[in-house]
Amino acid sequence: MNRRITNKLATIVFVLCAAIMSITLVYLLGYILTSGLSYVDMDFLTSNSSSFQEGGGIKNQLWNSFYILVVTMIFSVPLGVLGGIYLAEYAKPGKLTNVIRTSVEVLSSLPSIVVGMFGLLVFVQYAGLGYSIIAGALALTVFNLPIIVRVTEDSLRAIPVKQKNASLALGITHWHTVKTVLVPAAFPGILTGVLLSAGRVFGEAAALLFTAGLSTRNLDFGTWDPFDSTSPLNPFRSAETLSVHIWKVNSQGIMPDLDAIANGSAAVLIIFVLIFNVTARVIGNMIFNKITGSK
Amino acid sequence: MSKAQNNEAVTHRLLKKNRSSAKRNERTGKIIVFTSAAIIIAATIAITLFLGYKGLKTFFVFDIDIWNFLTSTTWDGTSESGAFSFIFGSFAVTFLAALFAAPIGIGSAIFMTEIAKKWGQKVLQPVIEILVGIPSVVYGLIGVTVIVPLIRNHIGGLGFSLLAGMIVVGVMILPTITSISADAIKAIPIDIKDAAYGLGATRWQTIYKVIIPAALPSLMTAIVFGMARAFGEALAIQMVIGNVKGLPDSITDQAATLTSIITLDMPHTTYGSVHNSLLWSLGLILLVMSYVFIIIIRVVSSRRKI
Amino acid sequence: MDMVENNMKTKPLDKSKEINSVPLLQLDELSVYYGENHAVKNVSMPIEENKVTAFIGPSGCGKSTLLRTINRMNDQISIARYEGNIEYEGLNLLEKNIDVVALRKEIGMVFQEPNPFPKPIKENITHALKFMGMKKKDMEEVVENSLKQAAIWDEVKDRLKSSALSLSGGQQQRLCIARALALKPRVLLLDEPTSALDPISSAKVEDLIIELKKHYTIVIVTHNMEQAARISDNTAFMYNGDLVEFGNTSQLFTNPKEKRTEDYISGKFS
Repeated sequence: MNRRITNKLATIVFVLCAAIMSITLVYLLGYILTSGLSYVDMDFLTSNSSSFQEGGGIKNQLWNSFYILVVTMIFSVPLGVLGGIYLAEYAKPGKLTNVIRTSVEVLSSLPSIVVGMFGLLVFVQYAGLGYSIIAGALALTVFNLPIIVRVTEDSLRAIPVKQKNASLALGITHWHTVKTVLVPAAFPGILTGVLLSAGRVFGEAAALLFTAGLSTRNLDFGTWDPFDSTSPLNPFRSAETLSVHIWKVNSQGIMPDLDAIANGSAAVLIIFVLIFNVTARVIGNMIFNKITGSK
Repeated sequence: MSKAQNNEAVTHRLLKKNRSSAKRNERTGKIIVFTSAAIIIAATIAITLFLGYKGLKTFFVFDIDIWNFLTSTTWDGTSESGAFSFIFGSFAVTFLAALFAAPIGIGSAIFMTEIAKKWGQKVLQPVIEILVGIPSVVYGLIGVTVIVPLIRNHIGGLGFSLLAGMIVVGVMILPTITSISADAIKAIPIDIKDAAYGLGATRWQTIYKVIIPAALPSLMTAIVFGMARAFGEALAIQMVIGNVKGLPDSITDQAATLTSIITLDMPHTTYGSVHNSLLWSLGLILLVMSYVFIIIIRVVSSRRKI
Repeated sequence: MDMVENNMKTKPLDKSKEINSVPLLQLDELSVYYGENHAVKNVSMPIEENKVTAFIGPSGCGKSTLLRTINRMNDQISIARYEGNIEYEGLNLLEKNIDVVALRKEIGMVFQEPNPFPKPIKENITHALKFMGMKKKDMEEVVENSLKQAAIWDEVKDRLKSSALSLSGGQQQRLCIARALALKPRVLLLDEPTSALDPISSAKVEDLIIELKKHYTIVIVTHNMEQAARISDNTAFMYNGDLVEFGNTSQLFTNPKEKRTEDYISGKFS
């Protein structure tokens, strides 16, 4: 009798835990989306931000977020994929392999503010890049690299050995096998990982405060010369991203509609993060079905 | 093989040639891949060295007493400054957040994997994975607009407080803990569970006597991961904790953490000043702590039975 | 991989085992180790040109390891180590200076489980040709010839562009044979090529092997003794890493010299 009551009680506790978690999280998402989306319209998305008056938009911040994301991926994907190839295909058990595994682990557990400080010192000051898109992207590369390395290694390890043997037994070099057989087979997995990491990079703010900076010029979307200081493409200008904007408006903003701007920006930010996540998930499922579908 | 045969064999098509395209191809591959690996190692070493150098300058160039730095609660940017309030703040937020998030997270993981498997897999799992990806500024913003007023109106104080920081960070690490715990529980071989049920154990007895002990090292790992994330979190905490430079008297008092002070003070200090150097020392503490968390995770997970 | 230098000394090759012609490959005191595990122990035997040589024996006896040593696929395993000789055209194939990439073109291999690339049928054949730098216009002919040789041309000629994974298991295995043949190898190593196939597909692959031995030297690992008896000319029986008996297939099956061989082929253990 007693143990049945205990069992019932325990079940109730577990259900409660799950309920607390689900309700909290659903409430948070719902809150941001409902309170933020009412402020989001075309005007908000396409106008310059304002420092004092009402009615500022997030055009430049949104652009900066995407631009930094793209530059970060240009740096981190090739390096991360090659690092993953090293770990999955070339690393022999030993000291060097331990060192690189530990490095990846250290990089992935660094607080992003520390990455930001490192970026400030090395990229902004020593390399003389100043607060810039490129310095921000380099800092985010440090932050993103371990994720790409891991996804690549995992995706490569998931490929059946028979595929690799097939190629090697045909007198094809290991490197050519990696390029033409293994990486294509691992591509969907890598892509899923890259999209998931894109969501993280897109939302990151702490590492950017001291690297990409807190301000952005009003960009002239008619100027595509990357060396023009108002050009959206200029990688050497300081660039406040959407997530940094949320933080800045909230902590330093003096405009009368700052709550609305912060909530609206957060809603937009979350929607893009969701798009990255859902796309990654859909691709992941497609691959899963393809693998299980064809034997 | 005689020497004569050896010489003859040098021209054989199956012997390695220095300039064969295959050999060049392999060498190119190795160089590219090793270079990338070297860059990753170099980045890690560079971060450690630069932070170490900048952080230790406080003690070796500005001659600040390490003991005073670690124990003093005065923070005025002079050489008398100490970081104790922030160290305390960081640890307080981390432990309080884990205290709140660990039971709920592990409970939810058990719910997902042992009680409502279908619902857990189909609904909770994806929701949790999406929540892991929600940016921390968004959590901070929710903290400011929802939690801070809630505390102010119902508990008292300004609302900006250690409590608010703990709740925000706790909610942030909840999905992380749940997701790692759920993976750990799923990895327990099914026959171990079946054996318990086969002996007539109730679900609670199976969970308590079999599942939790079997998954314990992995569950600990999940909690440490969550704590590491909490310790390093900057903006979400900075937005709600109040950032007052001193020890809080109670949980509803304002406080500050290592990360929140770096976030706030860094832009206002001059490069090369004592104040600036002190901030680098705070950064070094964060770096050292992330190494400590890695070591703890290694020690804990080396005891993993599954 | 460690190579024992002292086997450079000439050893009299033992060619007395009822073999008349000069063998294409001569294994001499060949040992393979996986770490501490001595997987193949001092095996000496010839592999004759244009004949089918079968390796039989219970699972784990070292027959697949031996096969994978001939084209150095065991190099893949970091703890693998060799001693002894595989003599081929005056070279020892186990030496460090052997170009394994070139070797594997000349000594092709087909695996237990069909492993076509998840690419169109035609690209399965051209994958290696492209790497070798063959011109596109020459490839057409090679594709057709090798598919014909592997007796699969009629089944796939109208769908060369569809995925190789759409083929049946038996067709996939013949495609894998065609893929190896496209490189014009001299030796074909087959590692239990029919164990994953149904009886009808197996029969087709067996017929193909008999056909192919006119042009190629074939070494096949099989756990199926009837198969070895049907298609091979010479048979090697291995047990626990040792070569217990080697000889003419019909003689080995009808009148084995060793007690263990007799017990194995009569089904006393497996």
